[in-house]
Amino acid sequence: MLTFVIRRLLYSVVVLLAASFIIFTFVSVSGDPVAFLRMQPTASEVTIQRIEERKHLNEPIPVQYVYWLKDMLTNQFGTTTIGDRPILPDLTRVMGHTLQLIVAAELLAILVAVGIGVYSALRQYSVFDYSATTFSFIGLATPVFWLALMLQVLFVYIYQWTGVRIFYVANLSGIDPGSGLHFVLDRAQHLALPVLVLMVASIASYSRYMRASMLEVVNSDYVRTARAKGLPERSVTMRHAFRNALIPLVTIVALNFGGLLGGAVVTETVFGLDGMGLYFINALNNGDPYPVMAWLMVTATLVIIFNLVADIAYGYLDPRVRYD
Amino acid sequence: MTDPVRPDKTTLHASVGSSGSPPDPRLGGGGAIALPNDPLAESPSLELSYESGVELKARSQWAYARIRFFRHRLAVASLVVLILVALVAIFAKQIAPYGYDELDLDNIAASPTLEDHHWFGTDLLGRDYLSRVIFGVRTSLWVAVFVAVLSTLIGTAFGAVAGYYGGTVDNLLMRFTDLILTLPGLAVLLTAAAYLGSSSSQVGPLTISQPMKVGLILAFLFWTGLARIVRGVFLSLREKEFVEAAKASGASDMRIIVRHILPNCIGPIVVTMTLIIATAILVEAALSFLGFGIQPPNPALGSLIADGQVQGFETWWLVTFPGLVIVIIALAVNFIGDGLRDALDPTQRIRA
Repeated sequence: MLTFVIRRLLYSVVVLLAASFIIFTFVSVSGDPVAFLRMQPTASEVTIQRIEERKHLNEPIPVQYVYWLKDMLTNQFGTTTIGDRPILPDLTRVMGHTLQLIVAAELLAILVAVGIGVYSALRQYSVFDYSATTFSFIGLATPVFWLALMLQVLFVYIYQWTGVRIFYVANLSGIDPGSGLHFVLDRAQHLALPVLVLMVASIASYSRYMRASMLEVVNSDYVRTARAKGLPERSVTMRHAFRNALIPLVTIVALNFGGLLGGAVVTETVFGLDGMGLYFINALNNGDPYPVMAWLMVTATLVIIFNLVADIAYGYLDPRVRYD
Repeated sequence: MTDPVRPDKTTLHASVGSSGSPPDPRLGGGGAIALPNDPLAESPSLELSYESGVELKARSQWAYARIRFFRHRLAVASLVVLILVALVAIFAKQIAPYGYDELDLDNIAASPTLEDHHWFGTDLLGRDYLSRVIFGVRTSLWVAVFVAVLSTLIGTAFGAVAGYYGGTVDNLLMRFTDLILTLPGLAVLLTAAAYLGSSSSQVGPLTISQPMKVGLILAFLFWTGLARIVRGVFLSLREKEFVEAAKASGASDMRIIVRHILPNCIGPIVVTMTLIIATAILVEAALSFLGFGIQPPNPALGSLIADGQVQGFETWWLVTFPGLVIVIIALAVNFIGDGLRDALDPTQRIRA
């Protein structure tokens, strides 16, 4: 077990290094970091030269890469091209916000999806089962950004008709969020719609997996044995079937982390939330490669950690899995 | 038809035909016995049944697949919808009541109405959104099909070579997919589109249009899934007897890959290709919505929605209809993919 974790960690470091090299060469070969400044009439030649010197832009790409790597490891990802702003503090702030969004959405989505999946499997081919299937198909065919926009439009109209503000449709906090319980309530009203949007796609796919894995377990030998020895149905489904059916979901949820960040990018853009997604889009729009590369590195690290956690958790939950 | 399948079928027919007994439904390919008037039945070995005097018709694997597909009512309905949408897209210039950028200054910000053909309403400049959506579907559908075809070609080629030869190619492929899985797909696409795909470019005598560039970028990320599937099939089949037999009779590697093993992957390939179309439409719409996908003046559904969003909440129809069309197309394609999976790849069938 320990050797497995260590080996996987070492492999992850190699993958990360490879990823960092690809990210850097790709972004620096395809875009000139000061191209944006060159088009600004107010940016003097001296400023541009100073930036080029600071970022070692006149060196060959491999040398630039080493400088960048050094910056990333020792100097908190370095600074932005424009404004020389340190990257890490900004990135930490937006990560906090995005985590609130993602964690809330995932916890709720897993709860709902597990419920739907298990019930569909136990009542296979029932009206509920067919409705759940239809919902997942529609959920998976709906663009996330469009769903976000539709909810936004809907709640704007509800507010205009009734004068009751149930949820906010933009930003992360009110102008005066207050403190304590007020702050929490304000934040919840702002996050409700983005969380709902992210939930739909997750529920649509998780409930399918949950249903499939529950069906497989319900038809397995040990469940038949449990029934045959006369256990009450409730105990068969809840203790013997349900708990085992949950195991595959662990991997699915962990591997979905990257997709979730993609969903966060569009959701945060629509709702104007100050999170990782909006940060990334703004960096791309500014044509500044350094925050973009830092963002990609941070998310790559997170995805690798999640995959590792999934592997370890799977072995812990399912003793049949052996690490060699 | 597939090489490994053909011998089976012929022997089956020979045995049924020569025995002269009534068709036995318990025979392996029980469905090979066709109803006399079945229009779907093909008759490659019709002479055989005439000789034996038994009313028999052979069906190719494709005929089975077709029958299974047409049994899937939702898939058939989706196919009809998709064909209609595709026809409208192809004949956009003839069908659309207005041009893509044509202004109807008498009807500015009109809500959806049957009058003057403004079924989807008009925007603040008086542009007809039905026409804009029709032209948008044209680009989006074209890009999605381009992505599907290209990534299928790349994925199949890489998967086949990696699975058949193993070794370095296989290792490289698997590491590359590992690497791609490390990054959030949408972020990679956004970065690539922002840095590479914002304008058309000239490669020698070829002009790569901007939408095509977006398609190229998408295809570059989408082929890995299919490559893994094809690789899996090749890995499991390359040790089989029919491959050995082909090798013994002197077939070249190329011939074994293309004629003997590849036909066995047709099912998963077609299914995956369909699903890629759906994903490509959704992802391209997201990219275009964020401003990094298809750039104006090229029409695209995603940028139509972004246009609508900018014009405010009063004109809700500008956001609603292009999105609904995306949902309908993606839903139809997914259902078709589902039907195709049942038809071509019955073993892969998830209990549904």
